[in-house]
Amino acid sequence: MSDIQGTLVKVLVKEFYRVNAGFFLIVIGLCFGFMRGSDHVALARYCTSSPFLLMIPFLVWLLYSFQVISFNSLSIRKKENEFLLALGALPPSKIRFHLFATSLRQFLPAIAYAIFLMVIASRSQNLIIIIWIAGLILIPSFFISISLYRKIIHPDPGVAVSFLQRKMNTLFSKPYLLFYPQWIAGRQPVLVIGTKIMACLMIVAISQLYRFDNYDERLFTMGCALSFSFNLILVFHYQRFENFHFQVMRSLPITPLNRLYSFIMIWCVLLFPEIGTILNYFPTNLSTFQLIPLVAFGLSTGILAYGLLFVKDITLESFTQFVFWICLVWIVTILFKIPAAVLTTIHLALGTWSFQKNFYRFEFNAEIGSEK
Amino acid sequence: MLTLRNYSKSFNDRLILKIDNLTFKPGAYWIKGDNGSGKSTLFKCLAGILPCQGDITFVDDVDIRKNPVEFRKRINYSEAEPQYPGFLTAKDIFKFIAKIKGASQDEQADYVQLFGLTSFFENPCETYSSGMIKKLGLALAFLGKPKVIILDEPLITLDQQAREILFGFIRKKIEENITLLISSHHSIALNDFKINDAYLVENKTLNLL
Repeated sequence: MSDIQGTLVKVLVKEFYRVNAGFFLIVIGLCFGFMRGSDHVALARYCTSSPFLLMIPFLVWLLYSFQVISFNSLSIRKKENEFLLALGALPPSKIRFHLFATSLRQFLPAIAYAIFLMVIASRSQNLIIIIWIAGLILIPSFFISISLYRKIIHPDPGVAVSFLQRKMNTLFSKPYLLFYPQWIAGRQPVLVIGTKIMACLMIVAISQLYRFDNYDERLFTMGCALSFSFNLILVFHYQRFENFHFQVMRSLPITPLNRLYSFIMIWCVLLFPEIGTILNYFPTNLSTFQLIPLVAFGLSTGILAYGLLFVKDITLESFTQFVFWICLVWIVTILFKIPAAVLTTIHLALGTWSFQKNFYRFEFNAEIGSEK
Repeated sequence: MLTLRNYSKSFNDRLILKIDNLTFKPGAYWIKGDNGSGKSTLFKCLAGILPCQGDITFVDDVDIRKNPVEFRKRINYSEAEPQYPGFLTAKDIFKFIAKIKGASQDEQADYVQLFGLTSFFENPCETYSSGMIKKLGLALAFLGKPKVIILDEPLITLDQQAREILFGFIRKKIEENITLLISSHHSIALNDFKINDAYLVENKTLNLL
């Protein structure tokens, strides 16, 4: 491997897998924990039965490529990675070669699945489908390398402010409530959209089970707990926003309770789609009196995570592990019929106590290199 | 008057700065020191951004730990290289901080005009040059009724006209008995503004020059 390839692997490939280790763990857990080998083969046969159905894995690959593109653009914008812009001095063909190799490495999990699909398609000697898969898997890889190439050749394209935005800026000033939602949506759109889609789909899927059998409220509560847990990644980034990217907040005379109140309001805004989905898809055979404790439980999960994030600086991987374990605790306690209201009370008490105790003591630890 | 007693700041058990006893009276203080000596860390601790060991109190016993909100009301801080989320306009940030600091509309309008923010006030920060961002950071440091204003490298990226305006504000604040802590690698001339004392950060402490 050349020096350039080695550097790109260290900065973009290894870092990509490190940052997304939690996500890959969840995917591996879902794929190998809930699905048997025969289920995988059946799914692959279904997807390779026609070019139209191949669009299902293709859409997933596209989503994955958006995640890679978003990671790459954030990485190149970081000051410590500015040296990558020196690649622009190479001949264009060499830059394209290096970046395409990098994008293939970042896209390896998708390529591995594409090879699996090709093996399944080859069993039914469907050459056309194999060619389709080979073509479809290359498209997102090209997207990634083209996007990287543009970022390196045109690192600062300038910022154009639209007429409408100028007009809005003249008429209004943004309330603090919208600072973080707009920041995270602009910085990590794939993360926000992916989280919202996954969380809402989880609620819808669980609610559909109630059409076929008579379950009590625990199943729906567990589904909602998982759905809320997906959103905790947004709490992690909020803590980074408030204490690093907009650190002037720390020096402002705001009481801890007001800070917590601001967070709860922002958390409500972020959970709007999930709360709406719960209200829309709440199973009809459950008592509507269970709705309020359920929504309160969702809000309290964020307060717990937010409060505990101030205990000490942690990496995204550690936070993902924490979310995994807390999810297990929720599932077990819900199975044992501990009411959501009790969990809510514990979350609120623990989260508020931890926040009040640790907010002023908190600082980022450069040595652990947590994600900002 | 701001007093530091047994102040120390460490990162992962590595001592950055230790000050046994030091009082800043009203007036301007020039804090000098090499890059990485701990000036900005000291300023961030005083502003409440970073935690530290020891006591930092005002003359009426308002303490950084016991009265964190009241303490923060009295200290304004301008970073050496301020950074704000790119999609926010100076107006968004200014209005938000002015409200918390209790700055009147007239006061806000004065600072916007005198610091020369008007032309880009309603544009997003991502369109600003480093000089524009610096002016915004400096204007924010004067908002409200602070008793201590901390200016970390206030002269970098500022043009001559902006420097003169800044010196004018500093002179005005000195007359109002405000304490100003200023770090600068640029030399400050006697006619720029009156300096009470100059300190040098060296050997992990602050020494009077």
